[in-house]
Amino acid sequence: MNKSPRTIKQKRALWAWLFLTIPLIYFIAVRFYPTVGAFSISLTQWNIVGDKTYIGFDNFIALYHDPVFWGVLSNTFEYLLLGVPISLLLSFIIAYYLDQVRFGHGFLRACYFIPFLTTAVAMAWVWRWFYQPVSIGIINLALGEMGILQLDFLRSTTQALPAVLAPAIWAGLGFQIIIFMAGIRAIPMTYYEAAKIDGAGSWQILKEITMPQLRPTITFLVVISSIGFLRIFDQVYNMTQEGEGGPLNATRPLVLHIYKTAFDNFEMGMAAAQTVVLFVILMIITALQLRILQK
Amino acid sequence: MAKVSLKNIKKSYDDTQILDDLNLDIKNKEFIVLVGPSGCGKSTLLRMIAGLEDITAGDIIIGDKIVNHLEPKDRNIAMVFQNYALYPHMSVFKNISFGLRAAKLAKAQIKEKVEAAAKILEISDLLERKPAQLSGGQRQRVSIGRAMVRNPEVFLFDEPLSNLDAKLRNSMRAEIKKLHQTLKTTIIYVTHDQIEAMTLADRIVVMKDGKIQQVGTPLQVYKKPANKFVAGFIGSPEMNFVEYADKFLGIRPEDIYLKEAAPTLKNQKSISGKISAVETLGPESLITITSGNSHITAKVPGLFKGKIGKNIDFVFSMTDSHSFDKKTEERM
Amino acid sequence: MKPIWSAKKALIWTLLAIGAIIMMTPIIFMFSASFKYNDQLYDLALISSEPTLSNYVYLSQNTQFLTWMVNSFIVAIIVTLSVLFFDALIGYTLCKFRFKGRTVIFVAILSTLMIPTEMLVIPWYIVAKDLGILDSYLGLIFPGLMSGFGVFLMKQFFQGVPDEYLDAARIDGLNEFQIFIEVALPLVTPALSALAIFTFLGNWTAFLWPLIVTSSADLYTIPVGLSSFSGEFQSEWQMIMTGAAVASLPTIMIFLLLQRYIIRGVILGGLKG
Repeated sequence: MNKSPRTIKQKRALWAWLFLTIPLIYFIAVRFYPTVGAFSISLTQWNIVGDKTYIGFDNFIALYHDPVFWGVLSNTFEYLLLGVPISLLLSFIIAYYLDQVRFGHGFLRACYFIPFLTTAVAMAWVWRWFYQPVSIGIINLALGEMGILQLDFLRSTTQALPAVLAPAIWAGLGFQIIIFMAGIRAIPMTYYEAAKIDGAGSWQILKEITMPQLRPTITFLVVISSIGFLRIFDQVYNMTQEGEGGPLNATRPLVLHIYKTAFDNFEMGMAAAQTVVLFVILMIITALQLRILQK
Repeated sequence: MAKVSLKNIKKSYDDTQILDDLNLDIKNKEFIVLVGPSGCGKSTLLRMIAGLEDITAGDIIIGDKIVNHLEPKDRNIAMVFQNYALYPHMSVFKNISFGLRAAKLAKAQIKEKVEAAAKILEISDLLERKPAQLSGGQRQRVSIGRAMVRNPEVFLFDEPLSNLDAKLRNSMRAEIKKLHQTLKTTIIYVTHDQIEAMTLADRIVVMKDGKIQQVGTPLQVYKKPANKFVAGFIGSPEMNFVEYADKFLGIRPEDIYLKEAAPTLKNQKSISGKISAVETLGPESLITITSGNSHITAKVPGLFKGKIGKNIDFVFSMTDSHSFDKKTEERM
Repeated sequence: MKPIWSAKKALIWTLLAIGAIIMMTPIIFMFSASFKYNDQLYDLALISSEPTLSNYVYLSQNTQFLTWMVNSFIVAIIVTLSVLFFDALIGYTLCKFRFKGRTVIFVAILSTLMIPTEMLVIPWYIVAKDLGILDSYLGLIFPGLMSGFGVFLMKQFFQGVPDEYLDAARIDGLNEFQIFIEVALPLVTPALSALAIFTFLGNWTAFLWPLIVTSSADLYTIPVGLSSFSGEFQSEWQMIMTGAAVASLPTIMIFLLLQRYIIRGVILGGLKG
C-alpha cells in the first residue's frame, strides 16, 4: 500500500509546503529569531565589540532609576496624548464636512491627502525652516509683519515638543481623513433617511447615528495613530540640533533614545532593554484601547 | 466512447461519511442527472469524477481506464461551474481558449476550435468582450464553450443554471438539451432542482445522505418511486402521504380530482375535508383540505371558486397511489 | 427648491478651502524656496522676481542626490516586488490550501505585526555586521522582503475569490503555481495595488533602518542622504529645500498620475489591513 500514488490532498499539501518553505525560513530568520534576540540581549551588558556579559535584569533596574529615561518616557507619552486627540479631532471634522462638499471635492481631498505621501525627513526640514527666528523662518516673519511677539519654537524647552509634533500630525491627517470619509460613506443612507423622517436634527444624527456607526473606524485610527506617535523618530531626529532630541532632551522620544543608546554609545544590552520597554508599552496601550473601544 | 463506471465509491472527511459504497454505470452518450437535496453528496461525487477530490475507496472508470489517480486534464472531462468561473480579466475568446493555451495548442488551431464552439453557442460576436459586459445567460454559454473546446468525452455540469432567473433557466435548459443532441457526449449533470432533472435527463439518479435512492428514467422515477423520499422529492407540488395501517399511502396532487368533475376511475376512493388553502396558478388551482390531522393537496384544472372552510370531496384511483413500508419507507 | 449654495454650505466650503491651503503651505513653500537664491528667502513672495534653477544644478553637480535617488528606487522597487510576490503567495496558500499546521503558521505570521521594527533593528544590525552586509544593498533590503501586514491583507482578499476559478484551471491542466500566477493573482489586482502603494511609500520614506545600516554616502537612500546633507548645509535653506523637493517629488508625481487608484488602495489597505 505504501506505493500507492499520492492523493489530491497530499499533492495539495505538498504544494502548500513548497510555497511556504522560503517564507517560513525568512520569517524565522528575520522576525522570530531577532525577536528572541532582542529579549536575550536585553539581559546582557555588551558594547558590540567585546564579549556579552549576562547581567539579568540589571538593565531594567538601571532604567528604572534613570531620570533621563523617565523624561524620555514622559516625552513619548506627551507625543501620544497630544497627537492622537488633536489629529483625530481635526481629521474627523474635516472628513465630516468634506464628505458633504461636491464642488471641488477631488481637489480639496488631494490637498489634504498629499502631505501623507511626503517623506517625513524632507518635511521635517521644511518645518524646521519655518520655525527659524526672524529673517529666516517664515512663521516668525509673518508674526513680525503682524507685529506679534516672536516665538522660540525649537529653541524653547516648552515649545519644541509641540513644534516637532506639528509636522507629524500634519502628515498623518490625510490618511485619517480618507479613512474617516470611507467610514462615513459606508453608513447606509437608509439610517439617515429614517432619522430624518423621525425628525432628528443634524447634531442628533451625528451623535446617535454617525458616531456609533463609525466606532470600528475610530478604533482602528486610534490604535494605528497611537502606535505611530509612540514610535515618533524621523521628525525629532531631523528637527533638533544634532538629532539629539533637545533642547535639554525636551523633545527626545523613546525610539530616538534607543537609537542613541545603541548606535552612539554602543550600549547594545541597554538599548535592547529599552526596546523591550517600547514593546511592552505598545502592547499595553493597544490592548487597553481595543478593550475600551471595542465594547 | 466514454461510459463512466463508479464502483464501490466511498468518501469520508475525517469521521464524516459523505458517500457510502456507491455504484453507478453511466452509458456512453447518456445524459445523467444527479439530483438530491443539498448535502446529499452529489457535488462531491461530481468533483471526484472530475479529479478535484480524493476517493476514499472504490474505482472511477472513464472509458476503460481507471482514473482514480489521474490529473483532471488527463481524464477526458470538462466541467461547467455554477458561478461560470470566467476570468474577469480575460476576453471571452481568452476565457474559452484558456485550456487550449495551457495545453500549448497552435494558434490557428485554437482559433478554429473557439470559433466553431462560439458558432454552436451563438456567441460569435461576443468573443472580444469581457465577462462583465455579458448577461447571465451569455456567461453561461461562454463557460459551456470553454468546456466544449476541449472535446471532452464527458461533460460535467455543476448546478449550471442556479444563478439564472427562472425565465432564462427554462430557455437555457432547452439549449443544453439541444447541445447534448449535437455533441453526442456523455453528460453528468448535478442539480437540486427536480424539474431540471426531469426535463433533461435520460436517467435520473436521486441521492440522499450519500446514498443512491433510485436510478431510472424520469418516467420510472415519477411513476414508480423506489421509496418515500424519492416520491416526495420528485414532482411538484409534493406527493401527499397518509399513514394507513402499516404503510404510507402516497398520492400525487395531479392524481386527485374534485368529485363532481372526476372521470371514471378504477378502484375509486374518496376523501372529504375542509378547504384550508387555495392557490390559484392560472391554468390550474391547488386546493388543500384538512381531513383529521392530515393535509391533502389536489391540483385541479381551471379556476377554483370554493371558499376556505367549506367541506369538499376529493376522489382518486387506488391504481394511481403508491404504498411505502412504514418502517423501511421502501416501495411495496 | 433649495438653492444649491446655501450660506452655510458656502461657509463650510470656504473653511475647507482655507484648511486645504494651510495643508499645502509647507509643500508650496518648499518648492518655492527651491527656485530662490539665498538672499530672497525672507521674501514671502511665492514666485521670486528672478527664479533660478541654480540650486538644482548645484545639487546634481556637487552632491550625491542622484545616487541617493537611484538607491531609494532600487531598494523600494526590489522590496515592493518581493513583498507583492511572497505576501500574495503566502496569503493565497494559507487561504486556499488545507493542510496541517495552516492555522499555526497564519497566527505566527500575524503575531509578527505586534513586534515593533525598533525592537528588531538591534539584532538585525548585529546579524548584518556578522554577515558583512552592513553598508550594502542587501543590508538595506533584507528586513522588508516579506511583511505580516501584506500576508493578512492578501489572505482577506483571496477569501473573496471563489474556489471554482481555481478548480476550472485545474481541469484545464494548470499546475498549482501556474494557477496562482495566471488565475489567482489577476483576480486580486486591487489588493496588489494597495499593497504596492503602502510598501513603496513605506520604503521610499523609510529612515531609521537605512540610517543605521548605511555608513558610506554611496549607499544612502534619499531620506538619509537628505538628512546628512541638511545637517552640513545648515543655514543654506534654499539648498535644503531643493533637496527636500527632490525627495518629495516622485511620490507626489505618482499620486497626481494615479490619484484614484492610490486613494482606493489606501482605503482598501487601511480598512482590510
